[in-house]
Amino acid sequence: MHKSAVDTDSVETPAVRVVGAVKRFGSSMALAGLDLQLRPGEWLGLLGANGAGKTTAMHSIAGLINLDDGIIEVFGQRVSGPQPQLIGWVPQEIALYPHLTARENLGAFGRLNGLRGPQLGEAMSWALSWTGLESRADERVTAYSGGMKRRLNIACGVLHRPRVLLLDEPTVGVDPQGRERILGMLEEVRQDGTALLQSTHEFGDLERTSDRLVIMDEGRSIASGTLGELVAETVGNHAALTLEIEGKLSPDQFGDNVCCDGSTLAATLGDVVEELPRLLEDVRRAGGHVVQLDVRRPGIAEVFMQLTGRDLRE
Amino acid sequence: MIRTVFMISLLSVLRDRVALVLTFVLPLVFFSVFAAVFAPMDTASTHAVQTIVVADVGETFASHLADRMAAQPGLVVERRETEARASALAEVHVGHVGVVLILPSGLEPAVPGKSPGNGEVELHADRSNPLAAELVRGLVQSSAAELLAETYFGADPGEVREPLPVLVIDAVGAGGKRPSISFFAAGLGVMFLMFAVTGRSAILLEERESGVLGRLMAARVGMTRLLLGRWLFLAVLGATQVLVMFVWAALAFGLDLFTPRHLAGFAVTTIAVAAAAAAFGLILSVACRTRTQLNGVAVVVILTLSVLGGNMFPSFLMPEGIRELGRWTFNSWALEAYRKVFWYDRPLHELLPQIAALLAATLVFLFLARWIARRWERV
Repeated sequence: MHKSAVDTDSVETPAVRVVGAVKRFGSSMALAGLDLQLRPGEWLGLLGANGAGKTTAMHSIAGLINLDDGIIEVFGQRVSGPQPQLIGWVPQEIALYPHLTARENLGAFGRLNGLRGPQLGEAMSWALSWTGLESRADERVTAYSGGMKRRLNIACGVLHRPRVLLLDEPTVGVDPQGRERILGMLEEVRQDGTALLQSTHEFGDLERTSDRLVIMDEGRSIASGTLGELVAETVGNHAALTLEIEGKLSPDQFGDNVCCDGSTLAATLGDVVEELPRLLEDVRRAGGHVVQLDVRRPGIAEVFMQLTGRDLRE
Repeated sequence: MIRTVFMISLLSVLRDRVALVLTFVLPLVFFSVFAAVFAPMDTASTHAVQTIVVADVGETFASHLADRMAAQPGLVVERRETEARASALAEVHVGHVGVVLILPSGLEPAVPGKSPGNGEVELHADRSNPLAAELVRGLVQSSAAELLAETYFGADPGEVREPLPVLVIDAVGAGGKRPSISFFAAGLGVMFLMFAVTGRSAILLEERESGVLGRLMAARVGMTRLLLGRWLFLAVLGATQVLVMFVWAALAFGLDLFTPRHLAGFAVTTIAVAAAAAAFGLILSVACRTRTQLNGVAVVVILTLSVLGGNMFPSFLMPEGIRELGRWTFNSWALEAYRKVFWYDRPLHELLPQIAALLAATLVFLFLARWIARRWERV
């Protein structure tokens, strides 16, 4: 992996700091006072339903649009336009030249981002290896699968090794296998010290990969923190238990935290290790036979629902 | 089932504004342009032929004939003395006038019952307008017939059986030149140049739709550099296209391209017109929102410019008002420059007005394109 373009900033300086960002498009308010902070080397997930303002936030940080109000800083520098040395931009669309090969696309975007000579050659070799496209580097992009295009799309934004990588829905439309591969690639970049800001409404991936999450709604950040913190602060850490039972049980046989409709039993458990065996014993004594058991911790979907009253995918 | 398919088609068309415009408005636009250009020909004269009549004022018949020619509505006549023959011929050689008519002494006896005249009318013509020579020759004959009839037969031209001898000489275009080939090579070449560069300039719209434009802006390429890069490519592409057209015209149809003077004039003109056309294509592409819109707009604008500028029909077929309008189109300057090169054999420095106009148009177009493209930048 290549070294980042700038190595001298203090680790305390946020990679990205957004304070009170406001952006209007006509009568529509895309950003309504967004606050956000991305730490160096951090993977921050930006979650929100469609129209929440995620893409506008990303465009603002990339220096592609002017804010009506508020401040954006990247490593302490006020953003007044694009800063390609610091920021890599991966748009949601497959922003590639379809009639060029992967090598030619990488070469073009590398040059446009200031790479030249051996540095460019080295970066291209790394990118082809990183994306697993070495064997098809000289094929035109039109011949690639969706997942390959997505990987190349990301590579063109990372090639010049920015310190901050903005990823707008980088895995949209990719099959689970392809998504895993992309997330693995991004983890490599993060391990190398690049701060990632990824917008998505695919919360499943972010639950696993991101260090922290910011939830956006109607142009604002309505919550931020680690998944555990968000869950604890909103829906609590109780696990949701569901049992499918053979035999008819009466609700009177269980406590207040148990809901039973005969063949299905649902309960919230504070301490699964302690409470689950006890509940299973109660079921056995009541004459029930458990055929299926599901214990589920609340996740970002429940947090989002709790905060906004809407499903994340709406 | 058929009804459903029909209804789907109908609704699709009704809700596609571009399709509606192309289907219903475009034909009207074209009809209107062509009608405006050519309908006046039904009622008004076309461009009058600039003519110099060289005649000896001491020669009665020639002098009277010159007077009659000057009175013809289809001609704009300037009279000169026989001593000015050389300077008059120089005028037709450089294309300032269409015809020089030389009326020698001794024409009068060419009437029945008299001894044959010892001279003949010389008609030196610029064949870039093939109608001019025929028009003037006809007018000479009819004027002479009227004059002779009035003088000898009591105003009945029918009595004049022997026509006045008229020798038509190609003042320019002699020696195997192909005026129609150079006209079509230049006219069609420039028209397709405009289509080609506008078509390729659509890459800007594709970049915008695919997100590449955002990526380019994030890389700090900047709109000015992006447009200049595109313009340079389009200009090179356009110049190459015109080069191919002229080389083909030379090899297959005998266009006189491969002489030092013609090659130099061709190169300068082609670079200038390709630069202007490329900048023009940029304007169209940044002004449109989609490729479909660009295609529709390009067809209307380019064909209109081509008709007015004289790419499709020679401008001598057009009424004077339309010719004047055509002079405001950049493609007409290109055609004028090519005509000077291939038809009048003019040296490079005489192309200066046309080249300057094309370069000025390039700068104006580039400035406009940059100004319109502001909407694609930071908002």
